[in-house]
Amino acid sequence: MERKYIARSARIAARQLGDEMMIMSAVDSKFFTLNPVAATVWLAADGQTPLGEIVTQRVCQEFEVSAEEALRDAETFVNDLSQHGILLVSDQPIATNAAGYVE
Amino acid sequence: GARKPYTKPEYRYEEVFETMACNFN
Repeated sequence: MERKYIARSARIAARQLGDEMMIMSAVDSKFFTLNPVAATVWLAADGQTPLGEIVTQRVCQEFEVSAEEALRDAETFVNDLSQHGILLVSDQPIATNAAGYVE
Repeated sequence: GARKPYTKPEYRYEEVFETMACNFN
C-alpha cells in the first residue's frame, strides 16, 4: 500500500472548539470547520506519521469504525482539503517547523 | 474508554469577506 503523509500549512490559524476544529486560512480567506473525525486527522498531521497509522492509531482507537472504511474516508478527506492549500499531502515524509506546520 | 460513534471526516467552509459583509461596505 502506498504510504501517504500529511502536514498542516503554516498559513493558517487553528483552534479547537469542543470536538471540532476551526481553521482560518490566509491562503484564500476561508473559514473552515472540521467535524470530530476530521479534527482527529488534522491534529495528527505532523508530516511524519503515515496516514495509515493515523487512521489505525488515532481514528480507529477513538471512533467505532473499521480500518478499511476509516482509511478510505480519510484519503478522500485529505485529498479534498489539500485542494484548499491548508493541508499538504505527499508520498514522502514532510519537514515541518517546531510547531508542526509546513512553512 | 468507549469509542465514539463514527462519522465520515468532513469539513465545511465559508468565505470570510461574505461573513464580514465598515471598510468592506
